Amino acid sequence: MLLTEYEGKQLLATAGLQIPKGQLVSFDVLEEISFPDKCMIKAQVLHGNRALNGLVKKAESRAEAKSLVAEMATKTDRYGEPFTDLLIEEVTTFSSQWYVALRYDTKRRRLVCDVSAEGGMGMDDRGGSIQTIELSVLTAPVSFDTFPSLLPVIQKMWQVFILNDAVLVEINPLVETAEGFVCLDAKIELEDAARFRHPEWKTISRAAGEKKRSKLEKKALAISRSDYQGVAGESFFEFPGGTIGVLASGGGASALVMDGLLQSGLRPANYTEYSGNPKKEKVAELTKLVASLDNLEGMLVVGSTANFTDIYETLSGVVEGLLASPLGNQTPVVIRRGGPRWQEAFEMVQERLPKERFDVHLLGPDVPILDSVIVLRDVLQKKQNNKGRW
Amino acid sequence: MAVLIDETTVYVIQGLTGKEGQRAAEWMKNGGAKIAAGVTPGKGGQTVLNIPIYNTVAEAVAAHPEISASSIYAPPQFVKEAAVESLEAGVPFIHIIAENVPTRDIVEILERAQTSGTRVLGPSSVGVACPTSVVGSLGGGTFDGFYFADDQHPGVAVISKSGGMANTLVHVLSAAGIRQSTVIGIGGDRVVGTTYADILPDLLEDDQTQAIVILGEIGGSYEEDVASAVTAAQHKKPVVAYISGIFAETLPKGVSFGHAGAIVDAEVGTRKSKIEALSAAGVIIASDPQDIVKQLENIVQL
Repeated sequence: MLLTEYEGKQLLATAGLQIPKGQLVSFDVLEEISFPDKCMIKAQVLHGNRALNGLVKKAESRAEAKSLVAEMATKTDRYGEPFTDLLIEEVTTFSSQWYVALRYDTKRRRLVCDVSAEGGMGMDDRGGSIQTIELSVLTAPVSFDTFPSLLPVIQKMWQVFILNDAVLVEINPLVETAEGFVCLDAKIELEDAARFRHPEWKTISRAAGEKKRSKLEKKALAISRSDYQGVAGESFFEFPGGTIGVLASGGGASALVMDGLLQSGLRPANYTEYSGNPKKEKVAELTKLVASLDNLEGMLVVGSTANFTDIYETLSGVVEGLLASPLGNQTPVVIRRGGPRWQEAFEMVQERLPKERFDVHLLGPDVPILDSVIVLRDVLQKKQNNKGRW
Repeated sequence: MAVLIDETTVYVIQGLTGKEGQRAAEWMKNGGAKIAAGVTPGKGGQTVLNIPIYNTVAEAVAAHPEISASSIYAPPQFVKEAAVESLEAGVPFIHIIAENVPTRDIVEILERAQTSGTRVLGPSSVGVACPTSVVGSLGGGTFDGFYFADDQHPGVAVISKSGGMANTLVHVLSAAGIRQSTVIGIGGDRVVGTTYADILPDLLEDDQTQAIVILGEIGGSYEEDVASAVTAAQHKKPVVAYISGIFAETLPKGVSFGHAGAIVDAEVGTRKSKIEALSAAGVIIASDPQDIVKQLENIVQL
């Protein structure tokens, strides 16, 4: 979960780091704002390079501040989404700018600190100036030989990182002023997997600007989180104009299947995945959601040869979802599965899905995963040809 | 001779009284695994599948000093606690199957494991299967799909982030008459205890392994690390890699897809960068899982 600059700065301030004086305001209460003489006006959106997108402005007077805010109200974020909040801050005078970030390094498999004495905008072009120092998650750093004067800042960032289960705490720029170091901008990302330790996260209101979840994506997520066993719909993408409903299983196989669809010329209407042995009720709800997408010409239910997901249980869910869906008229349904109880599951599918509604093709573990895409393509092609003849 | 586990490995199952733990233990027994004990706090004194349950790993190890590996079936919020118990009891190899373990917890486990010299496989690892032992749930209780190597008939080793893809490939290889020396799921998280490159030196020394298959995906740098490890290795064996991710790369940067670690940031971790690095190191790139078999048939004497 990515925090806005304002939310991130509040966490930094709680740990004792200095942030500029400022106030968070919404466009709907602009009349009541008292602007300082000079100020920074910063859109609270969740992506970087805001200045380049005209979403951070400096006002030299109150009058200019008012007109800049009015102009900002007409803008959207980089993804075209409107936003509602601005951070109005006093202007800070400084002598130097730093880049400091704490994050997990995949290669080293440790917590690391990235630091550069050349912070500020356009960091992407000055990556070479960054030094990376390994830290421990068990004990706070007691020395920082690279830039000893930064130690107190790093210690406080470490505290914010660990206590909040962050995966990123980035301050850029961190500036040196007559009053010490001040955090001018902050990007903090918290880890969703640690949600069980953080009841307080429920109260973080998600500010505008995050890539919004569509109604269906939200629904799928709710299905997935309806109990703790396995996932079903945790990730869901909609592709308007697509004609194939996709229910994939397994993180690795789902990536392979989507690659196969793209290469075969079929257009997926969605991507979603269930795995980790979810209960059939969850799979049924997710199937119903997918099978109710507009303009579906076929369904692809495909997964790797499962190690511990019960295929009978999960395919029972698929069958129930299909039966409860608006699909009919011999919609092609290609199922490729293997794993615990797959033969029993296939018999059940044959028995329960009526032939007049579904044209079912069952492929077992001896059939390559990508062949399921080819089978579906051929079935659709044949159906198309038959249609042409009549 | 096998890597990570073999017929001498003796397991403690943490969370054996739970449904998932019990199921995995049954399957492991089918695969020849020797399970000495189970651990569930508060349930010491019970027996499950004729295996004695202890309250702590320390108690289990005291009663069964031959324990040499732990396999953990605790929900993600209790994984760190469980792993730390095994680390403190001196168990030299720990397997973690749970997904969604917070990164802070796994990094803490790895920091402690480095101090104690413990090997950690996972999180989100399906486990390991070799001709004489198995840990985790690879195969789903039946090893009919496997065609294992032996001393007279070497085979290929499979290392995969995805457990399902590993199992799928096993079936494909067996059908083509290609034996497997060892099959390993390393997990698809951002930070894992054992990477492809960590296992590579063991496989290069393993007499039963003729060639190595890497099943990879976008995100992170573990596939690129294989390239460096292959280049640095003294002893060479053919390595074949398949990297998925054509679709995933059409998604916005920073969006994870399939596995938690399958995230592309900037130009690091792309399918292209991985394939380029691996090709430069002499690794054979397969265009899809079926192509892996074709590539292997060219290089492995069946």
